[in-house]
Amino acid sequence: MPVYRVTVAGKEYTVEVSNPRERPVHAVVDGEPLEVWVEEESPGIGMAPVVTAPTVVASPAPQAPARTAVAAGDVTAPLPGVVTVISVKVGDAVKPGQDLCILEAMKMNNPIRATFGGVVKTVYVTIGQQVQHGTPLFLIAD
Amino acid sequence: MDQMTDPRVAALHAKQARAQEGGGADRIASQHAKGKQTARERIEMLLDPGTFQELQAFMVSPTDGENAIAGDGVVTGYGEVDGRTVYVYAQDFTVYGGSVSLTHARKIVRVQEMAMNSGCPIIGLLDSGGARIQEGVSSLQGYGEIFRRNALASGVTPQISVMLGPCAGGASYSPALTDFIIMTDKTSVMFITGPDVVKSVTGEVIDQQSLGGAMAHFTKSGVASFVAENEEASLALVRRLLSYLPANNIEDAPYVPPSDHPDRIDLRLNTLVPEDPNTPYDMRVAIEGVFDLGSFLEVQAGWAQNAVVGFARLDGQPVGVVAQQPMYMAGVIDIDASDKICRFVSFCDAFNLPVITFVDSPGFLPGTHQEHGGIIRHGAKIIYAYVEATVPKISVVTRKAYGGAYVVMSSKGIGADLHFAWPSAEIAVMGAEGAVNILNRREISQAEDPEAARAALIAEYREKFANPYRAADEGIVDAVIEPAQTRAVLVAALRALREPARQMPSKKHGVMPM
Repeated sequence: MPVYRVTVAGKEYTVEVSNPRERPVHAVVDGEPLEVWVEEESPGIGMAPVVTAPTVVASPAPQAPARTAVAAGDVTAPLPGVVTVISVKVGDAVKPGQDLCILEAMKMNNPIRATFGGVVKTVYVTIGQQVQHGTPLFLIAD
Repeated sequence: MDQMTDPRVAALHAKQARAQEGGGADRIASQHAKGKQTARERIEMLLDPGTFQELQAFMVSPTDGENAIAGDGVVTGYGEVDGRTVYVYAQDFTVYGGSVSLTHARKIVRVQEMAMNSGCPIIGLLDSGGARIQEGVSSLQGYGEIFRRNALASGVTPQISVMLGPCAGGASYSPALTDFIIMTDKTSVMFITGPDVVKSVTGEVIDQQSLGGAMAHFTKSGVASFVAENEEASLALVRRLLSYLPANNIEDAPYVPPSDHPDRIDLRLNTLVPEDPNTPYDMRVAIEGVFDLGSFLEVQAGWAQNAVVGFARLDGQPVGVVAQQPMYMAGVIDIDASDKICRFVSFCDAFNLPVITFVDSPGFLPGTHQEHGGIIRHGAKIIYAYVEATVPKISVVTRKAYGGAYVVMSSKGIGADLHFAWPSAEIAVMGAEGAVNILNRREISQAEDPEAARAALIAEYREKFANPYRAADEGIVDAVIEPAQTRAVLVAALRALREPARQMPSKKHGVMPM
């Protein structure tokens, strides 16, 4: 898990972010878990993000939050839920319609299926993980 | 001199031949090289052979002077599909890139008005680079005239748009106002602002197809009702779609003699719903088992898949089918599913198609994403559309029907004419877990083993309420039916309801919650 040291208004915080592309971002700030909805654009309008304009002072080199949370090739969670079964692993070739994982939500074991074929490059989630709407679950590419 | 070589007839033929060439041999070759057909070739593929009558083929734009090309970039007229008259216009990309001048627009408006006045469907074959910039604001006037006829014809005759090339900017709103958009994979594209503008304004880098191609609109935006792999398939789909639709809002939809027996029993349906309430099943199996074999044509199949909508036939009679899909997102009602269902029910009502609804939904999707996205506004549309529909409305509860999500889905309360349930139906005010936590809060907290007490109470609640019989006791469910018999029950129900005498209160129009 990448660890950042962030200075806000002169005070330094240790921030751990498991997956910066997830929305909300699940960060641990000085040991305190925190959900952050990152404001994607129009800063200064509406609600301020929870963490404003951090000054990153140390490595690793900060990754600018991706403009769009989801990369091309990502399979995302269509609804919030808990991952209960993961049926594929990195390197597996998958076909469109193939089951990738089970997301328990709304008292239903929802099969999450590949909408396009390719090879599983990344599994972003683990069994038991709570995911939000739009959380990337797998990266599938040619 | 024989009749065929009369010089006046020969002169007409020569003039027609020149008009047929559109933008000329080079442009036609370039169109073919892109894997695209010409406007006239497309019309040939769409219509019954030899039925096309072109109108205003010699019309030119007065601003083009010497360079004017007969027809001005759009081929318009009427012809037949399976012996039924349709009006058609096809933009001709070989003439000024299919760009829209005021003349071009007026030709389209002419067939739009003729279609509406004669009560026939209109099919637009779109392939245009956009406004003819040389014409300036006159071209915009032309678009406005087209949009106006699109809106006026809505609910009068079916309007179908087939996307066969680019359609960018405000031009997208003409197809958007029509009933169905068929996009051709890889060659068609629709967007309000293209990749260059998107990049300069938002910084997003995206190509045309990813932004507004057929698959983007079929799976992400819901703009495309259908996607077809090539032009031939797109045009074949128009013909199939028309087979379910009446020519206008006064006619009945065309009856197709069925090859399927009205009392066919499908035993698979008796075991379709798993006993474990957490295990999903594919609602399409129920749809296939009930309607005339092979007759189901799903609309917007790639978007908001937690709802399934489409056309089918029941003993030869076209109907609209609405269902929830437990296989996708548990069949929840969310914003997109609300939009999908509302629009489809409203279309069916406008064109006299009975609506048959299969209900299995655990509820509305919780979360800030939905609440702040306005699920209250969007969900309200489902109720509005069902209530407004004066066509026969039949619903079948297959499994979960809890709380508000049950009410909105063609319940008796909002006006279903006949309301059936399978024995696997669970019709209750709320789910067992939630109900027990509220009703038995104290009992659980005071129990020696609260978790065991909770589990026992949940089991008891499920036993008592998670079935269709309470609703049947109240007369809300008209009949609990054996799933395998659903087809026969619905065939008879449709006959029994053939002409419901029902009118909306007199008003200018209601205000649909948007």
